[in-house]
Amino acid sequence: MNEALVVLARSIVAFSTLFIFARLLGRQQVSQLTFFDYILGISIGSIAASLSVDLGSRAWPHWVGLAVWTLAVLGIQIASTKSTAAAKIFVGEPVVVISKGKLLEETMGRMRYTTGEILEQLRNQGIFDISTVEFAVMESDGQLSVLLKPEYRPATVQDLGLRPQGGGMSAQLIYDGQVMEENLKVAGVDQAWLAKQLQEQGINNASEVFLASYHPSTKKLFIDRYEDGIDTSTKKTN
Amino acid sequence: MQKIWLYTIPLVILAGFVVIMNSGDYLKKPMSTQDNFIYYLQETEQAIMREDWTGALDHSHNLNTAWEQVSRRIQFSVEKDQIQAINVNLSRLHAFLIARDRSQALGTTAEIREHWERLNE
Repeated sequence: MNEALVVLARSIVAFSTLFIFARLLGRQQVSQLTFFDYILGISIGSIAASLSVDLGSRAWPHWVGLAVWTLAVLGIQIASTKSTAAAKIFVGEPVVVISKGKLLEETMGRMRYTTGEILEQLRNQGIFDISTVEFAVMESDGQLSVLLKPEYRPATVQDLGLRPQGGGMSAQLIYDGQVMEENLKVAGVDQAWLAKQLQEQGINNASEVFLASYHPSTKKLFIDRYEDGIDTSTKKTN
Repeated sequence: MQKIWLYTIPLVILAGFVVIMNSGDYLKKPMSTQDNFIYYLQETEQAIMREDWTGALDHSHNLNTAWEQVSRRIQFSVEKDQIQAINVNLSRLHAFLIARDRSQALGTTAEIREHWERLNE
């Protein structure tokens, strides 16, 4: 028995299966994971690792375990999206921990959440004075969402009575020297227009450009060349 | 059309893995006259019963050759410990045949048969 060869084959099976299953479970960000999701992820990874290198047992039972755990997570995800009650059970619900600048100790106690942890999360958001907080809500993934009192909120464009320009997304017209034909159409411009714009900046060919992005609303074209004209060589100083 | 492939390819890959992981029972069946493990095991047992020690050694040699071929095929779908157990039993059987110990040799062939039958369980 060639152990390395068997580990190679089983690792290919484990890796590919884990990849397919992970894609099946969706694109949830790590920051959006609840504590339970985190544990589920670790368990699934651990089973995949056993499938890969535990030659003391057949690959099949490990694979079945991997499939069952993945299907269970998928089941929870589907149930949570279809039913609010299921979402409450599996994902949890947001809880108000600060109301009108006052800490709700009883709620925090139920969640086993310390004052120090809340103050730390507030500081992470640039809030050093708890009395400026109107409401703070602990989300199901442990993130703290904060609403400041009206007098401490940053002024918006509307508050200032200004008329904002722009909006929308810019389109990448050139990336890594290649013109993105599809994006030209989306931005409502063409090759001839792009060539003219490049020539105005002394660029003869798109291959000289690393990135060019165009904002249709502001009609601004941003160009970054490969040649930046910045000396990056290291100079010795005495 | 592309969406069909997006689902079909992973499903085919997963189905392929399931087949490979459960291929032990199929792959331990003889594919030539040289890898008929269970046939050579029976021949060895019968030679031991007749106390034909030269014949038993010849058959056990064929049994080892058959096992080498079969174990190469089934190594991806069975337990390493089961393969090791048969390897150890084959070595013990060889020693008992040289020592001409009938009861120990028959006990070992019975053990080999048990491991063989449980290979893909």
